[in-house]
Amino acid sequence: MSLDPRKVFGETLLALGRANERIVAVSCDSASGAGMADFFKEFPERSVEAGISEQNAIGICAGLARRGFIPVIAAITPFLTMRAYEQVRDDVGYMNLNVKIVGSGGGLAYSTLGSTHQAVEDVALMRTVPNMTILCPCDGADIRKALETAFETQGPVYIRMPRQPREVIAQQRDLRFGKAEILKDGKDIAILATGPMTEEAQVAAEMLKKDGIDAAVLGFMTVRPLDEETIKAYAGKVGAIVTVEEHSVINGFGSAVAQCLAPEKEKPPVYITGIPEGAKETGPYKELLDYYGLTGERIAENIKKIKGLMQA
Amino acid sequence: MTDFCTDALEKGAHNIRKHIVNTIVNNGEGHGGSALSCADILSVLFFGIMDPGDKFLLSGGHKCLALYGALAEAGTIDPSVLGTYNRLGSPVPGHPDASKLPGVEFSTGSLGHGLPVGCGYALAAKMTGDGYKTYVLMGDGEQGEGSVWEAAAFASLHRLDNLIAVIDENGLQINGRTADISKPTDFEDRYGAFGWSVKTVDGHDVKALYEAFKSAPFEEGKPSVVVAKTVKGKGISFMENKAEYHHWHPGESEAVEALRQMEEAEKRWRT
Repeated sequence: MSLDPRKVFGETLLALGRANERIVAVSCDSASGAGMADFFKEFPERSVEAGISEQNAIGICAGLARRGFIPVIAAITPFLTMRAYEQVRDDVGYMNLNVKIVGSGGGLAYSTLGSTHQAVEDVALMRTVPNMTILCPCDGADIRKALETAFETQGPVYIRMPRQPREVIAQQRDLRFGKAEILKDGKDIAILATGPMTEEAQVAAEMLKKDGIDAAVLGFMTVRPLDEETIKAYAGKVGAIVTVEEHSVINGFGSAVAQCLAPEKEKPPVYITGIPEGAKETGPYKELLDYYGLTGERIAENIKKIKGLMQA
Repeated sequence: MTDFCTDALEKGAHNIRKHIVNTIVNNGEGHGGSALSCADILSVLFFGIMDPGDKFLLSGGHKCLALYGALAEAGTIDPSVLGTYNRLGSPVPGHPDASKLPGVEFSTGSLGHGLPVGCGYALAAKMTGDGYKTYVLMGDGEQGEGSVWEAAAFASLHRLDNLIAVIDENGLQINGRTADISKPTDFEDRYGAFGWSVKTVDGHDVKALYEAFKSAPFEEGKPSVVVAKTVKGKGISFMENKAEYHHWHPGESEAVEALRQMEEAEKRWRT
């Protein structure tokens, strides 16, 4: 079964909007592209088109939130998290306002549109914003949960939306805000993954099984606050931790995990995998994931190399 | 407006200036020039124009000593708090912080943030039917920020006639004359082209400021902007119209002279 992320987002937003009249949708010429078209159609009085002006749009969200509304703004990720970073930091973060920022297409989602539209630094930036909660859903079920969580959480929330439909692998989900989802237990290695990499990590773990490597898979829909308890628990029982993210290896999810484990006296090596520096390549999504070593198969290959290093 | 009101608003502006000068003299530094240039605007807004529900956003956050002075005069804060200016843990830092000081509607400091946020406030009032007005005070150098013009276009398109911007046009910014650094056209023309209704007044004439603000919105369905022609450093003769007093570090002789000039100005109300 595969679900279109934008469709799930749009339907969930509409349902939440029907239940809570304080929710306002804000577009930067992005309502249709980001999946808010149905909300705009049903609630024109609670829909704001700010046009191609992201700095202004974030400021508007801050003003609306200060007056009691709960704005959700969705647009292509770099335009919100990078162009308008200072507005996000000052007007939303420091002011601790109830604004929900949705990066439409995180990571390599806009794979063919080049480095201007790909977003591999967004989590790094949002991690530095005071009071910001960061949610990185993987598939349809996560997106629904992430959006519901965002509106249940008081204060600023950043949701990093995937764009490509994903096959849902795990049928039984245990999605809880702020908690890692243990998708597979294992004793040799723990793969800690976030966003769409959660699925690729499960594929990798299945492949590794054939090579006699027993890998645990932990999914992190919530990147901030990080579930440090579960990370530390696994650090105490596996030979290595491998983080996987569709993001720069600099200051993203992997860095957060490393930061969490750094003070621990007894800990296994932590290998941060992701995109080395900038998203410089362009191409079909799956091919690009493969290029950066982020498909299940490539993750498994990397882990076998790591295992070799550990035994050497 | 009666002469009595004019006098009260001029007294209010004088008292704001006294807070600015005293605080900088006591602390040793502060954004003096542009706080002094907007003192009359703040006096008129806080003591003559704004109703209790109205919102004031100080987009040029570095002018905050004028805001602190107005809040002290309005009784919103204890004036003694200004003695902690810029100290660790102070509620009155070098840019206003809404989480630290009552009366600060929104934290500001980086330029070009106030008008977008003001659009959000004004839009919220339109959506809920609230009658409050949103006032946004900006500097003229600040008009170089692109986000100001994103917001200017939005406010016009969305007919936010409950939004009133003020430009404290003192003509100077840190590196010199605004006309030489960042100003290709008159603000009247620029805001007019963006669909705003514009009034230009002497920014130290409280009666003119009062009448301009009182008549807002100048046109139904349009946001209003008051372009207030001011003098940077107004009230302290050696600071007036000098860019180098944007951030003032008074030496002892300047401090003594500034306090003397404030004393002199105050004699008017001692009879």
